[in-house]
Amino acid sequence: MLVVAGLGGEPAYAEAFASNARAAADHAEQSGATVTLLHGDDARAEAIQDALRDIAGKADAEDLAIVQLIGHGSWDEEHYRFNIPGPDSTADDLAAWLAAVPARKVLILATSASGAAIDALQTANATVLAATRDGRERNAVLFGHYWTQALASASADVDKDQRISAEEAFDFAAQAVAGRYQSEGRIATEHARREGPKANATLALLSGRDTRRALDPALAALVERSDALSDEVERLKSQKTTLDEDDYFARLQELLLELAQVERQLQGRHEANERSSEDDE
Amino acid sequence: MRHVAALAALLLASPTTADVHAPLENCRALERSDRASSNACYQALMVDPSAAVRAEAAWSLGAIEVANRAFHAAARANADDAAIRVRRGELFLAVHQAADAEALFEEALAIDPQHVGAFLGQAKNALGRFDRRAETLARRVLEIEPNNPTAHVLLARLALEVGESDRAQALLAGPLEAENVDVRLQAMSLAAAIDHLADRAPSPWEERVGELHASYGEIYETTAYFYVITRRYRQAVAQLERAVALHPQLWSARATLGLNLLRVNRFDDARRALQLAHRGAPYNAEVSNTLRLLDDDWHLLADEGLILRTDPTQTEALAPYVRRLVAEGVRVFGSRYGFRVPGPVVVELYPRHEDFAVRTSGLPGIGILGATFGDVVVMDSPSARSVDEGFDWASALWHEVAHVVTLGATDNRVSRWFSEGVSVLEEWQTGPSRFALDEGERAVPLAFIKAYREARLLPVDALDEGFIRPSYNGQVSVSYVQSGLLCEYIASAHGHQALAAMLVSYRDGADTATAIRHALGIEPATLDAEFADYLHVRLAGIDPAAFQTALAQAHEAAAAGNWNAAADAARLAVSSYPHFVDAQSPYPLLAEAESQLGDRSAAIDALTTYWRAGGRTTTPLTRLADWLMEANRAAEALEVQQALALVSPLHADRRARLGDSLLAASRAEEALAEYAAYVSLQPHDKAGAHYRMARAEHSVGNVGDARRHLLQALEIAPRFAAALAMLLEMGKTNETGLGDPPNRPGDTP
Repeated sequence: MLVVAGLGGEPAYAEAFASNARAAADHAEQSGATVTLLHGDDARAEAIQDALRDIAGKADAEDLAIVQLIGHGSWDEEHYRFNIPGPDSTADDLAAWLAAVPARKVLILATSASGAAIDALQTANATVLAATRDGRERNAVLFGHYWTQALASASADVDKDQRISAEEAFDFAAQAVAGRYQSEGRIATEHARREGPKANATLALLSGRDTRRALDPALAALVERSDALSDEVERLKSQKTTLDEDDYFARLQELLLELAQVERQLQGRHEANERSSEDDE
Repeated sequence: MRHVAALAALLLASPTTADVHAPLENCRALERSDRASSNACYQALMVDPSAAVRAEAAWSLGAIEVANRAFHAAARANADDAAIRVRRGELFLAVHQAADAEALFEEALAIDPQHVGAFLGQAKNALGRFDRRAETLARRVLEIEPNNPTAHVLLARLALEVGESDRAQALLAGPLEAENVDVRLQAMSLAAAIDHLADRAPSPWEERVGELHASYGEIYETTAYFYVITRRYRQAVAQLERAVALHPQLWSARATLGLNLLRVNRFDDARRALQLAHRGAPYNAEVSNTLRLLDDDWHLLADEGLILRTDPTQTEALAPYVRRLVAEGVRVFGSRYGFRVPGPVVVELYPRHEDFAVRTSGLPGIGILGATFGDVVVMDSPSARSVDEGFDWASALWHEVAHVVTLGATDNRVSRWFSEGVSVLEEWQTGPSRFALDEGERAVPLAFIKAYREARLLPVDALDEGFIRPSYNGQVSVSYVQSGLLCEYIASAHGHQALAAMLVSYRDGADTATAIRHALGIEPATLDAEFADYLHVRLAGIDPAAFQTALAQAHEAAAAGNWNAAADAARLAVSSYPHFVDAQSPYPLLAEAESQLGDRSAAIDALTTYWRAGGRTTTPLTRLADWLMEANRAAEALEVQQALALVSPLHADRRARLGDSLLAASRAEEALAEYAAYVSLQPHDKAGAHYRMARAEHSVGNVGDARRHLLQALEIAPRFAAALAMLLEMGKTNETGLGDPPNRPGDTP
């Protein structure tokens, strides 16, 4: 993952961008990602290009590369620019550097005017999550603030799997931004936009523990059973309209009760493993 | 459109050129005796060689666009004729195009700088906007024509609007004898209104008008107007119904009837009246906007003490709070003022401020936060404006419910200042954002102190004018505060029962001066003098200049990170203007400085003072709640969260957090209500919302509902750990209705 905090222009923005970028990087590291964080004077075009070249060298098509740009962006009716020290990076620059990365890509553009970069950056294997609808939304955006908030928010974790996915963070931030403008009675100057395939990338773990990681065969069996039950729940949900409501909920409950037991055992195993690791230390 | 609004009728008798006047007079006379047969007379004039005559005839026949084109042609053919431009201006006024009308009056004055008709046109335009210029312009006319009867009628109307019946009567002496029949009819209508306002109805003038004009519905439109501005809407409706019965094409009366039927909660009748008015006179934006408003999606909730109309998406979140505030208000005010509200209170909450404005337009000095028509309260919903923009909707509702009581207790005869004064006082002393500190007093706004120090407060018997015809920017707001302080003074010096006694006097028909004499046993001038002494003491310690300087210094120091200096300056600001909790309040800054200096306890104290003094801005209150929780002061945190949720009831997260705290405090029923509101607000975290509902339902013993919500939560988020744990617990106690699940391979004992 590459996280870049752009130029703030004013101390308050500079501080907010750097802080948001640090938080995003910390969350990603805790979730097991390899992260490059660029901020301040380090966040220059060459450094961004180098970091992407590095990712390109290490990743393959099955990997997931995530790029988060946090800061101010601009649009001159033709080009999107991400404001950084030295020459700004344009959407075309970024597209060219990203083209060399073979992995699936999720690009988060938490900048003003970022909607203008979507066309250049969106490819078959790239999802773009932009703070604004297009380049005309030029005011500093609130999106980055709420994006960062989402990474640590239980409310953002709508499927309650203790992970914040890019989709969940995007939905949370987009709704929070809209709600903020509405509650303040202001005309919204930013409308978040998503393009590309569904971005199933984990950006943060709320519990600090990845309960899906199978460290031993017993855990692997439980994870497998849990996943199977979860799939059964999804299958049942797809039949909901064809079933009697009471019957549906009875079947659902049966599956969920079993899932609850499996998840409890999974949690117990993890806790036991953690205690054992602590003892070893 | 045979006739235009009653106000426009004031000008029908304006001087027109002689060649226009003569052919029309026959038709006008015919209209007075047999309105139906006058149509043919006007029709005949539609081929008159004079474009001005054709214009007048078309206007009388309701062909507004034809009239306008004919006036335009007449003006082009008579470049130096000011009167034609004045009449065209009056036509524009009649169709609610005030700016175009004003331009035509100006055009007429450019031709003839002393044109009486043009000044009267401008005066009428000002009259419709409750602009004090109306009087100046009428007096200008009298400088030119000292006996101009129309100017006297206009001045009489202005006098009556501010309750000066005797002066109005004196001003009507000339016009009642005027040669011009239209002027005489207008004067008689005002004379009838004077009688109605003095409870002498029916007025003998009604019969005399009937002798002069068989279908002069305008007389009842006039009497209704004065009932409306004195907030007696039921009487106004009765008068307007007579007006349209007498003259079915009096579209202005139909429009006013429709608007006032809304004010007495007769929605269906209102819609019919407005539809008729719109069909007859489609130019009235107030009518078309109101019809659009009625077409909006409304949710109606009715129970014993409350009828609530809201946007359907807001009902569930707002209804519990509205119900509680209205019930408490009716009980508290009933006991303090000795009046029992007889029926349900109707509350309409408008999600957009523009719609509230439509609903209340056309009333002088109407409250900018809410309005009460008898027992009908209309106001912005919290989605229209937020508490952080200065709109504390709960306090505003409390204020309006107090009006329901003061209006009801006096049969709507209470003076404007007194009703507002009681409402403001109740906001300060008993309202949901009341001053709740043990010592000190509610701070008043800076603008009031400025007006006080500049000697711009009005004497008590003229205080209504501060609401109806303000003479300087901000006078309405100043008048609200002055009225509140006056009531505060009366209650403190003469006992709270003196306020109730004032209401009794008003109910018995007393004006302000008489009510003061009866209830307080003093002259209004004495009350003014005592009040001045009271203000002198109450405002003595406040130093706005020192406050502003200290506040600026505090902000400057905070920006520089010098928190010691910021705290010192903020403390100085607080002492220069104690308990000031409006937008510029220094308490949040003081709290921030104390927190930065490591004294969390002092920071909490600063924000607690802010809150208990009535401060309701959400950022400091959210912070206070968080700090109190961190300090293990959960009970106080809960109180702050309740205040926060009340002032921002459409903020889903605040409702949820309050529910969490209530549940933690074993107040499950209240938690359930908060969670229900939260769910209704379509929160982002739907699984979390259902889980909260499940917990609360379970706590109050509704196992079936708890199970349903739990399954709904898990349907959305099957691996929701807390919900799965709860499901297991419910399974253990067989609350799921299915018993324990069978053991599966891989289960650990």
